Amino acid sequence: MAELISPGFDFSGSAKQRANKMAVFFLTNKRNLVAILEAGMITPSACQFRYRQDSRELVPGAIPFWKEGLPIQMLNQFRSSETDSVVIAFEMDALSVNSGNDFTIHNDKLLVVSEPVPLAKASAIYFPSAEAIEDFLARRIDGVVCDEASFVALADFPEIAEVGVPKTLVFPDCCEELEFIDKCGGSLKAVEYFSRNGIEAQSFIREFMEQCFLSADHQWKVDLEVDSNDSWIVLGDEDIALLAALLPILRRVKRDERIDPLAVLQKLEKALKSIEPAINEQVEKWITFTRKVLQGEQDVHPLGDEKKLVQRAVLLFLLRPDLDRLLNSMHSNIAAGPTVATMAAFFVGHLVGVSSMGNAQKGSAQEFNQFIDNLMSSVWNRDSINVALRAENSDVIGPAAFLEINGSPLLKMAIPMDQTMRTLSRLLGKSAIEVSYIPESRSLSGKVLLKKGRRQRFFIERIVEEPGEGGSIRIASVCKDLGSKTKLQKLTKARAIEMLKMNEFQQNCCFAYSESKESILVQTTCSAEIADPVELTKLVEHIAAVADDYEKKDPDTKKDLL
Amino acid sequence: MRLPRRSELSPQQEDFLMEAPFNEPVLCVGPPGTGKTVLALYRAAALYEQGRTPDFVMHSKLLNRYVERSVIELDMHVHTRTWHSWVYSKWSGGVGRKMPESQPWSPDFMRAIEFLSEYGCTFPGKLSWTHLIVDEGQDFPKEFYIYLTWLMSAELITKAGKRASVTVFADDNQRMEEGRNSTVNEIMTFLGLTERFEVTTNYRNTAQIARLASYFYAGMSTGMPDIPENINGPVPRLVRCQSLREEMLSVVRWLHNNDDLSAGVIVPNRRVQKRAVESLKIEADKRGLRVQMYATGVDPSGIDFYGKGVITVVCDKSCKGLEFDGVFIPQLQNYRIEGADQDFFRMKMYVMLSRARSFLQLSYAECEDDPAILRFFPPSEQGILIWPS
Repeated sequence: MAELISPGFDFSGSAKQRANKMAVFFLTNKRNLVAILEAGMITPSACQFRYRQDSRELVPGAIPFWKEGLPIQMLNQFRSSETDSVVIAFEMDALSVNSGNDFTIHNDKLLVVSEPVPLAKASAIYFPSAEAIEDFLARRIDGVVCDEASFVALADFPEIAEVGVPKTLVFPDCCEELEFIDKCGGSLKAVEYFSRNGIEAQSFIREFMEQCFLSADHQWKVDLEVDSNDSWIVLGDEDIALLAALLPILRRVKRDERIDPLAVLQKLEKALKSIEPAINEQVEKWITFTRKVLQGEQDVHPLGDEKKLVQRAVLLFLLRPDLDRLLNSMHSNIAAGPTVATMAAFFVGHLVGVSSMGNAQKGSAQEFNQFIDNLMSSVWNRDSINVALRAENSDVIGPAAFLEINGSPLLKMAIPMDQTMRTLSRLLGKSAIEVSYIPESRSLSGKVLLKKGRRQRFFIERIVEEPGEGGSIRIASVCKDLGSKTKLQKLTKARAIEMLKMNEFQQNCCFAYSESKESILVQTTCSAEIADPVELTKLVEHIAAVADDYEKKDPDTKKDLL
Repeated sequence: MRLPRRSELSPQQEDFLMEAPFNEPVLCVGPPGTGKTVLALYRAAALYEQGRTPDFVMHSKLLNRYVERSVIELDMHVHTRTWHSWVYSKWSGGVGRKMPESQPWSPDFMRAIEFLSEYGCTFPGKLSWTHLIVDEGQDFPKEFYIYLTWLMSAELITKAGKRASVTVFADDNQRMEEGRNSTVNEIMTFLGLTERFEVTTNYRNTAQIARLASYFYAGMSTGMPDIPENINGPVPRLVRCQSLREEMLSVVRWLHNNDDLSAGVIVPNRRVQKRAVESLKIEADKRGLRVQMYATGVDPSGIDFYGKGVITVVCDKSCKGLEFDGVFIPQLQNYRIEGADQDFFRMKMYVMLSRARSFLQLSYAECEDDPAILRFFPPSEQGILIWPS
């Protein structure tokens, strides 16, 4: 007989620790394994899509785990070539995370769990033969993600004594809650899929997730943690009403159902009227326009990132309720903007749910199972929901933010760029000057190529802090670093006066001292609403050239500069 | 093309993909539009994953083009052929001489078996195969299956270390030539099968389109797939227009809004086909969409049947076997029923309507009164066709 316990099991420690590391086994079949891998968890039988009878029948729909072996009846099933049996193994303590050790039955032979068990904690999946594994893998359907390394061929299990199970057990129905989690997970995975395709436009995610929970049948106490970054999109009342109407409609769509966009629009109109009977004229017009577009009676206009983003996203979603079609929509007649397209992806995710997504959206089995585990930890059996964004800046991943629900990280995002800096970055891009965004200071930094091939670093920052666009910006380039104490001491009164004198000779810029950068800069200021790429480029190049000129010459021979 | 997700498969399709054995003959039957060709492709993908590169044969060149393209998109190295090409090349590769024929391009399989029994073959490995997938299996003569079964068990093949198998997809209702085809029962008998897989749910159309198409169906009830109740889309519409130009403008607008999809315009005759193309081109050019014409007998190699943002204008007689995301049937006033067989008209309508995957619009123009054929259409109260208000 093959080795039963995987090499990773540790038998050191106290008796209690050893008991927690005890292997427990769930017997199912190949067809149910497809559903389990697809969902990233084992669920009570009533909640599983296309459930086929398995050992869950013995414990009215809950999930039975046998300890350190299988009773003879189960063993015979596993041994039979006709049943296509499969055994999923866990360590005992892995099962206690969601259930809090509150098992329905827990004796020395059997453990019964009436809640979903995330697959991330499984230690192995046993098939009766290597051929059975090969056959299963060949028939894999898109979205059934698995780590082949966790598949083990095992001819037999130790036999344990039969355990009597009361037939009258009744478990609470958790399917509705699981479906809700599946839909929320779908939205998050859809947004992540767009991010993996280079579309970093998730600045709406916190607000959308909040609406997700608020629009659920379950009454959560939802708490939104707000930070000072005004680049995250804040929804207006109209947007909130639209989300409150749309998300429940999408949640009611069954897993194998395909929607009629016109019927969804009709339901949406009805739901909006139930929220606010006198919906405003603009929304009414939008519904009429959307209907005509869906029926091909009117051309859709480009759906760029402007004006009514949420309405545009809903229209785009109704036109293309599919993630790959949405990705393509950015390069089609629709010319969808990244934020509009990503919002529409959020809706598609909500429509299909995470378990129905394909491999491309789910990622590797390890990533997907971990995501499901985090998702379950964040929402399952919780009364309150805390939605927060945590910024992180590491050498490995660069500046990023994590969407956390009840402390579980669920989505990694790029930090959205300040609107002014986004515009300036785009203007400089037209002159092939590449800049990077520094989220902490909300500034841009880049290098400009000067004559004779020299490169000079510059930065652009806001002077007057105002939300959105407007205010003034400083374009500057360091010409003398005074970072070390000794260098700072060199900035004598005489030198400072000399530099002020040099300002007399500068046009469009001046020398200045920056306390925060501990440097002497060449800088200029201008309106943040500068719109001419040529003008902006000239300013940047001029600042950089003057700074470079100062830097490359001996500052003591200031006469050269004067 | 991509592999299916589970929720996109009907339970019957999932049963087939998960349960059909790889190393025994398998038969899958179902009416048109139940996704047999798609299942055949997925089966090929599964076999390919197992290292058993399959041969894929079918009767029609049009279907062969679709399969060839899908095989490329699925990144498989599968040999796709029309059955003539497969049979003749296998024979010449294995035996090294001309295939016995009953008449030109009609292989005489019984004589081929006699020949092999008597003389054997030079290269048995070349005569055999790993796994043969036969689509449109009803269009092949029953002797073909006798020949396949004989080869699969022939000592000269098995001795060469080959273990060949076959999967057949077929439909009794789609047999093309009497006497040159096989019934499902014959295929089962000659392949030695006692069980078969069945797919009965419509995989091509939305429930709304399938419902309207079924209103016109006039064949054997087994020839029509079940309505896919969970696959929803807009209810088909009947539109009254002023002119052909207006009818064509609605085609262009729909495709402009869905420029990653395909549109088919099915017209009653060549004259309307020409006019429709001229009219479409004006509006399509403005929106960067392409227009093409197709007719039976025309070399299909120059036609892009699967392109996005393409409008294909095709005469009703040539639309069988084609599929489009959106189908437009204009100029209904040109269809005449007087003196014509009503069942024939109904079946023609059924075939035209069932070409549409997700959007279907019928229209008429250039007439003061409603066209006579509208009396054969389902009344508005039935809710399966939206009539002009």
